[in-house]
Amino acid sequence: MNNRYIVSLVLVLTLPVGSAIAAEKIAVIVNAKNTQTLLAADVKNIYKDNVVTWSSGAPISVYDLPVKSEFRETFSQRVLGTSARDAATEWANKKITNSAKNPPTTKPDAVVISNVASEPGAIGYVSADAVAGKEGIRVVLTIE
Amino acid sequence: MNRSLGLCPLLLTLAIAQVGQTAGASTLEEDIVVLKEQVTELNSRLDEAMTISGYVDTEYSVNNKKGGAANGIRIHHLSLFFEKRVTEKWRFFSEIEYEDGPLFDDKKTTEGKIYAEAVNLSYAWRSDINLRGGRFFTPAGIWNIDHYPPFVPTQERPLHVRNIFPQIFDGAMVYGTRPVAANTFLKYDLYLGNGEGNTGKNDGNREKAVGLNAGLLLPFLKHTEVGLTYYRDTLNNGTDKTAIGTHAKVKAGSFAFQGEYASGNHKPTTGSDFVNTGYYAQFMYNISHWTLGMRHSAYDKNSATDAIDNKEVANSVFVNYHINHALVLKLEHHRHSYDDAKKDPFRSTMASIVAYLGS
Repeated sequence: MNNRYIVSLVLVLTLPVGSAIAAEKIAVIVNAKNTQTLLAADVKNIYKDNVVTWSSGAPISVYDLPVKSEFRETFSQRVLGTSARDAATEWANKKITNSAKNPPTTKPDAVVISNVASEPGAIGYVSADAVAGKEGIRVVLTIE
Repeated sequence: MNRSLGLCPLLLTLAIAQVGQTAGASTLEEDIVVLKEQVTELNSRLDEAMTISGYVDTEYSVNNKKGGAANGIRIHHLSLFFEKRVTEKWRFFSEIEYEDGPLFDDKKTTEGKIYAEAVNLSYAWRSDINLRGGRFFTPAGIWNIDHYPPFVPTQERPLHVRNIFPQIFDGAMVYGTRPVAANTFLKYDLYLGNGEGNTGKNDGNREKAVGLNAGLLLPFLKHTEVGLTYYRDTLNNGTDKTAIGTHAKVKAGSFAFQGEYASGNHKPTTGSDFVNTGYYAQFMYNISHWTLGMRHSAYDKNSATDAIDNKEVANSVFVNYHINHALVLKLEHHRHSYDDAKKDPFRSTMASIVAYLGS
């Protein structure tokens, strides 16, 4: 009985934890003039504040979706390896410890697309469906 | 004739409607241009504005420590952070902390504390070389920087924190992050300033303290970070102090580990040399909105004239409930014990609510 209890406890504790992840694809977008290629690890480094400039040396302008957005949850889980809430907590901690180098600007998806299209150094992510037919942006990575 | 006369008003109406529609579309386009300019101007103003954020925490604690604080509610912190991007490269940052609901009135009542914990100006030159001058938290280990109540699991800090490396530092520093291998980054803070106990205008000696905090972010698991701290200072009483520390932080799945070790070697002008040592190891498990964890913490404080064993140990368990990323409820229990048999062990339990006041 005790062994069964311990096994059950271990199983519960080792279950992957996190909110339900949306099934929709996420498109990571940059300005159409930006020709740099990005891997998922590069995107993670940008959103983790480890990389703040493009390979050209130009500053990166980072856009995020609101914490309650299901696409932010998907992006956070799959790219950053954490929940949207924990990612937001990490940024808040960086801000008040004065250690944030390049904090993201949080905007709704339509504004993210519009701003990435108008800012050469911008990066953002939105639902893959939302970028269809949009001009001025380039999809650098699709997250399944 | 009648038919053509009858069509005229219809054609005229359609023509007027067409002109009106064209004029309407033109006005709409102009309105959109004006609105876009207004949004751009508004965004520009917001970028230039000073931002204010902060946090607040309130606790209820009980303990059985002899001569310890009375059980009760404590309005612990209200901290306000002011930040302004002065130019593209220059940024101002400050933290004003109001501790224990401060009161300073004309009846000379003095309660609580108002403290400028950080006041500094930073110059963001490039990712791997940035400059900062003013007052800042001493970059040493993890908890000395990442210590704010909304983002740590306990209100009580590990025993050695602030006892081996100073809490704050007045001076200048160079800091940055640079890649050293694929997805591996070196973070560093190199600083020079007044040193321990010498903040504000109270620099009590001509010696300057120097410190280095360096950490490696490794591409293993969800987060892997290891680091070292070095600190050298001549204290106001002439004691030469050299402190070293090491730290590690690992996140894997729902588990997180954080640990630090620090040792301060003192060479006083009179009396024998002594070493203060402290460490902690903290384990956490995150499940949905909950964080469960435990910590073992120790600090051995010595002095040139004190031969007895002063080691204190605290074993802690804690539960956090995160309502969202800005609001957390905490419950923590600590058991303190001493190697010195003359000192009585004690227990403390604390419930708290902590809110982050920022975006």
